[in-house]
Amino acid sequence: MADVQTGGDSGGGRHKKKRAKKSGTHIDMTPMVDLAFLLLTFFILTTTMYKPATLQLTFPVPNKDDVKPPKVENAITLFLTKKDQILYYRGGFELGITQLERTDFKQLTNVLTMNNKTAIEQIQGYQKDLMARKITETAFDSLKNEVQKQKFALFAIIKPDKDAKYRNMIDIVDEMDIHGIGKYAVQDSIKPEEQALLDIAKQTL
Amino acid sequence: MPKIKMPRSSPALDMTPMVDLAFLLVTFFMLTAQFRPEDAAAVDTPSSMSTSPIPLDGLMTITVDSTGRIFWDLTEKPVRIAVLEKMAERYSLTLDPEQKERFASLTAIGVPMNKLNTFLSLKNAGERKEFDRDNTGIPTDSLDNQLQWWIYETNTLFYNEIGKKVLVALKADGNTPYTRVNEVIKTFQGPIIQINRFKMITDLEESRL
Repeated sequence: MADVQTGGDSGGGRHKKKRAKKSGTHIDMTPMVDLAFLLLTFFILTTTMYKPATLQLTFPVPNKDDVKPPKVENAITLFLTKKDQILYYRGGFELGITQLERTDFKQLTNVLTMNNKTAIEQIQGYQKDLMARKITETAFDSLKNEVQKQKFALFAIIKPDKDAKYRNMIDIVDEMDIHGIGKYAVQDSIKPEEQALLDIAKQTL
Repeated sequence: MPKIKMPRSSPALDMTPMVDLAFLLVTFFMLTAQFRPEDAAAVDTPSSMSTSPIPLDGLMTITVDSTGRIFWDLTEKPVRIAVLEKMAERYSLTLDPEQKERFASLTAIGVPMNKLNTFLSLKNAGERKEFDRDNTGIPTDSLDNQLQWWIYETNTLFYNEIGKKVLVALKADGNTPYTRVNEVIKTFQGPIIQINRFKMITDLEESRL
């Protein structure tokens, strides 16, 4: 359009050019922002942190018949049974004398701390040293290990019975780690005399 | 008094940096999101205070769901195929390459050997799920302990191909009766496999999240 010449006006300076209207480069970004934040919110809200952890467990090598299990000094035998209940007895099993006591996962802390006082006190002593920076973390770990190996430290024998759930087993192993019991074993061999006591105790559950 | 005229400022503000940021975050979340592969069995693992993370590779997972069905899973694809071939040989099955490829891309497998052929012929995931639902998992009975052979073949083949021992993880539902889990542990400890150390997969305790 601008090039159309009107005759005889060629030398008459710059003629009026019709300028394209300069529209602003600003576009309304509000919908885009809306969308972006919608997506953002969606992704943040739907993301669940899926973080499974693992619990390492070493099972005792199945006993060969000629190998007698070592004499246990300071043992607690815990039977896991139905309704998340725990029945336990201290020391070795003596027919007619041993009685099962009943507890559950909430009270287990008391039972474990009561029966493991010496070891816990020692470990707490080291913990104070650690806090006061008298010993290093590695030293603390090795000292703790040392205490857990001592004879006075509690040795827990865990025997899930046929009514126990897998969760109970995990929970109790977890409790062992929490209470710093270094020596524990999960066994499935319930002796007949233990089973007899267990059956009687289970009737009242 | 002359009226003071306030300069009328436009209410439009430059949103470009905000949009940049928003899209950056969107892109980040979209790219980093990992979709959890659908499991053959819904397993609600118990929680523990343990924080040691689960290894991402070289892991054989034995899953036990709440009804006691057993599944086998391995992370390494080439070894999966090798294991499948060995198992097929052991139970004299003939599988075509397509079935093997499908087996490699799946996750947990929980069908008895005599149904494996049918299972691997199923093309879509829905059908396989349906098939899984009617199944009893990998048998562990003493006459024909198929789980034992799955683990045995995985152990040996993994060691031969990757050059290190496969990590064993047990993933069981919290409500599984312990006796059932114990059967699996007994299989682990059996004379042929002899695994006495393994990991148990748990969730983080709520308070630790």
